[in-house]
Amino acid sequence: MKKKLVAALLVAAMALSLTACGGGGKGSSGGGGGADAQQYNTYLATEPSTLDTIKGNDMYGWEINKNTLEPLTRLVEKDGKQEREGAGAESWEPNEDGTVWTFKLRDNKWSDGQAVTAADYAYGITRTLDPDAGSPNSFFTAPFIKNGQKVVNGEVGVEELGVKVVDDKTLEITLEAPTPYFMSITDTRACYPVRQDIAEKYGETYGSELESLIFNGPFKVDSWTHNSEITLVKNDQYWDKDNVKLDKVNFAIVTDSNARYNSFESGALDTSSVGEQEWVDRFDKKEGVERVDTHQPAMRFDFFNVNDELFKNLNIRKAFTLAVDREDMAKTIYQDLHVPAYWWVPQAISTGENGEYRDQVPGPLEKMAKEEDPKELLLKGMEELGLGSDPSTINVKYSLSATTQWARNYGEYVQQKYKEILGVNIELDFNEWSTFQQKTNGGEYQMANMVWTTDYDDPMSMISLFTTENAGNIPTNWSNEKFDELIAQASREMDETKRVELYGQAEQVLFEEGCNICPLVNERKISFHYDYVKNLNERETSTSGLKYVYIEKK
Amino acid sequence: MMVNHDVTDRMENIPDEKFTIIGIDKDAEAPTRPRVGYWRDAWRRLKENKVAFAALIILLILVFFIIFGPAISGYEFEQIDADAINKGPSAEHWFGTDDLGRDLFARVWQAGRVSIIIGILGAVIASVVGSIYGGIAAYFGGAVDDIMMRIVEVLLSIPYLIIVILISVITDSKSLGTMLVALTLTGWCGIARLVRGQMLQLKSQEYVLAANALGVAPIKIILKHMIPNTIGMIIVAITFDIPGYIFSEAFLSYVGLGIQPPSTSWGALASAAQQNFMFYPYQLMFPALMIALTMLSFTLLGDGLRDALDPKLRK
Amino acid sequence: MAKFIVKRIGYMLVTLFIVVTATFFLMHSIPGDPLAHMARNLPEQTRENYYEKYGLDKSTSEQYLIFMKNLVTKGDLGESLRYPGREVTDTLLTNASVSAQPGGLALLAGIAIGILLGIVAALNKNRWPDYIVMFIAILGITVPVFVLASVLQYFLSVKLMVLPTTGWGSWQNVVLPVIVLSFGTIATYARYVKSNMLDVMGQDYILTAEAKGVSKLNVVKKHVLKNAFLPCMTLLVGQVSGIFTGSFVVEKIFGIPGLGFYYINSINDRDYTMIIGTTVFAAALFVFVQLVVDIAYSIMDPRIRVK
Repeated sequence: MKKKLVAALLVAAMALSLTACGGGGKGSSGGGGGADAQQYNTYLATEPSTLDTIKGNDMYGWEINKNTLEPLTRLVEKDGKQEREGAGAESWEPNEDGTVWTFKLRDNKWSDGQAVTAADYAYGITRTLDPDAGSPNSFFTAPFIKNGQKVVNGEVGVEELGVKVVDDKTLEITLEAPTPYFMSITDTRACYPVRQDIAEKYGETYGSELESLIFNGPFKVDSWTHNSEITLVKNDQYWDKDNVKLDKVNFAIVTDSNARYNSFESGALDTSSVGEQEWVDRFDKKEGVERVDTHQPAMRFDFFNVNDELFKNLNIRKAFTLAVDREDMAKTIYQDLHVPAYWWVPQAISTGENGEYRDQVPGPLEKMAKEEDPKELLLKGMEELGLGSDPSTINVKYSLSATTQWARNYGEYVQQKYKEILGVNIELDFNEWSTFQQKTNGGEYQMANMVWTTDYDDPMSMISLFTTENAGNIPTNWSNEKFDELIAQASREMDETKRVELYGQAEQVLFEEGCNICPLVNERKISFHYDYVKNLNERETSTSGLKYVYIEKK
Repeated sequence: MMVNHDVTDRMENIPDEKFTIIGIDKDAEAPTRPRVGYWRDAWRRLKENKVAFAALIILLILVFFIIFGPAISGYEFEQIDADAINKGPSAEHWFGTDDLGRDLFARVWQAGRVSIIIGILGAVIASVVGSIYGGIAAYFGGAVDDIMMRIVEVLLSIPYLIIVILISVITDSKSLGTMLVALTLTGWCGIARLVRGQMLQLKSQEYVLAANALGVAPIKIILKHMIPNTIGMIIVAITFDIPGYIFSEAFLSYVGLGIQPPSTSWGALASAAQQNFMFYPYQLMFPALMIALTMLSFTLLGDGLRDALDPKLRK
Repeated sequence: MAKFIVKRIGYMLVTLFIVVTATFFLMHSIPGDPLAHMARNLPEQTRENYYEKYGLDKSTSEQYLIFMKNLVTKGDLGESLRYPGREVTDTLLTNASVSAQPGGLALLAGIAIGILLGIVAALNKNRWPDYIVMFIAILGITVPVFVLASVLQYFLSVKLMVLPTTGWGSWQNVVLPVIVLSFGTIATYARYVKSNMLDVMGQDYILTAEAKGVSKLNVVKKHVLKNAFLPCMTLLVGQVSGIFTGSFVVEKIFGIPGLGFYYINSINDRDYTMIIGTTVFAAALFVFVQLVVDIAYSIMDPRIRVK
């Protein structure tokens, strides 16, 4: 009796694990393949929250969307330059004053064989702005499309929106005002096509499982094992399928970076971006791999709560901003993987024909850092606030948006450096993202640290974050009429050179009169890929995805 | 009645001369060997155990360095040095430096202060609370046992992370005390269940039944008879829990409740070294070695104590 | 016996009810925004619609009543806040079945090897086999899981290329996780079995048996083993639910789409429905295994009588 029970328990436990075997093993693991197999093995750092372009806003879902759906246009790399190419749209044309854009669509099919129509694009654009859909992507188009903001605010219905289906192949978008960089948002998720019948059929579950998805891009999703793997196969209904070389793409979902490096080293992954100098050195020595360094349109920065008792003072904010030794930080914390940043609009953002913005306008902080002494500014600010002249009486709470080991190390660095340079005390406040958002949005912070990546390829995406209207995004509570006016002018200025000038002035005002942000480093991405992978995009802002990538094994 | 008379009659017939006074033998009731209390006996037996004694010495050495190590190193444990990042062990930096160029020798010992306190105090508090709780549940059995065990189940089933975050929000402090509360709040439950399991067996042992029959108070039975007989298991649990608490503290740092920078701990050092341990194994090795040494000495000492405290092994 | 089981099942339900209720109110009392993963501030109207859709605009007690009603009447745990469109129940079942494989195998292997080592150590007390076992036990507890996992992954997958680095779907993917996960279990059981055996071996009935001339092998087989294992069964309770809740690190390193991910991340994301879902799952499993162990205990140990 007794022995039998033990045996029974063991059998039960085994059965548990065996039945489980039947349930789980869906996804096939990649790797290998013949010498000329057009298969590319890449990764996502996290499971996408959804593949619905309306609800999804993480970069992981975006990576899949880019490859499986066809936006109106794509920003494509050619000979080291970026070029806007017609994708879902064959051609486009503004009217005389630049307020009405007409898109002519080309013949393309959905993966179920139905023709792609202007109504699909119109539905995607409209639905994103419909407050009922709860899309986090409405900010892309709301300020530009006629009545966009009103629709989002629930003031007028979606039928008032400036989006019109002229016929099956013609889409007309009316803007609030001429917008020089309007084309830069035509390849964002807010302008992706959505099949109304499919989206409505699946309702809430649309985009959450493979069954509910439909495709009209170069690839289609073949399998999706949550938190494990997403595989794409070539879409033979695609209008430009002859230019698509890859037959299969495996996106392994690998959250641990060491595991990712190990997978790249063993050849299970064809590519990996690398965030540690040690691994960079190791892969530099590896045979048969190529390294690609790119400046990212992303900033790591601190921001100040202008309503705070201490940081309401401009000189104090300047002192804290200028006290940062950016060169030392880039070296000590980032091992020179990222670049010291003396600006707000990051490198890698370009202005139309004129090329990169940062090549045209020098970083405003460079000059300030040379001319002003942070310690003096601090004492001046303290005097203005009546806080005496002893910096060690100043205690500042520094909020971080992560609780990871890295955040901890970073915090310790900041703490130590501010003590050294300004003599002030920093109290570190580590938060999970969900708490961090709540705290900063609620104004319950003094000084906080964050990363911001551009949304579209124009300086406006970054600089307009500090207008009074957009102040909620980075909640510093700063507001400046002169700044607002400069941005308003820039948003209407059709001449590229003049616009760049206005951006430059606005950035100058931001630091001289606001200094509500303290840029630290400009992100850079170092990634490696095996040399048999050809034609990978080198710029973050490119939106052609893997369309033109191919494998060439010797 | 008659029988009694007979006996007295016969007794009366013995003449007085037959009796002599020999006085009182004072030693008659003394034990044949020296009287040794439970704890003294335990200490005597522990001293005889060479391995356990060696472990005690290792512990003392560790404690010595934890107290004086940071001063010996000649570096401030929080001093960042951009020119000495990730340097291996050398004459300058005995344990090398970390990714901010801080001296690891100073850091390891500084960290030991927090870790040793947390590890030992956490394990001891949890064991004491757990043993008493488990003991009471097992001793009374029935409805008391049922209710007490259901409480344990509830505590163990509520996600730990939520409880920890809640504590940090409520107390709004990151002191050592808060951390200990967070760590031990559910930490004792495991031991309580273990002890209860063991005690259910002991409960029907003859000596417990005897004590019960003699009217000894329940708490006394638990403390005097049942716990000493479970001591082996409790000590194993304590020694096992020490590294557990040291690592849990690192986990608390991870959720932002652990020891606050610039202060540090072994668990924090070990997890800091995680990402790059393939390149700088020494950064992981030293804190891990200290955790292992601490645990090893506690285990060996625990084994010695176990033998010493176990009433069944008493000679 | 039947009465005992019925009573215990009743207790089980009460315990579960308390756990769910407590967790529900606790999780709503910690700060944090469940919509924070949207990265930027949602427009006011959008946010309101969201809150309304998920019922977050109602008071916590109203939300609780709605949740309980759905759970009891439909067995419905709701939809994830973090992964729109995914049913919590589906996610739990799919991912739990994944976690069960490496976790279950590791537990079985760990217990078997651990017990074996424990016996060896106890029978050879203070001789070299004992020291080796002790060494393994200490290693198993003090070497952090992430170190062991990364080292094995590096040597077996990258250097020797005998096993895949990460991924899920074939038996090769399970090998490394099982080794890593069983390490701690081996250490724990070895230590406890040894300690318990030494305890039992000092008992009167063992001495009696030995005095009567029963061979050592028989003494161990007939008396020592069973009595030494009994207390270890208590350990099993936590470990079975640990398969699902405690495998976060290993699943992350080896890319296993298990439940550990949700158990940690749902709390960080304030994905309320998923938090409650994982809690219900873990608690139910925990209570159930506890019941099984208690029943087994009372059957196997004559000294514990069931009223």
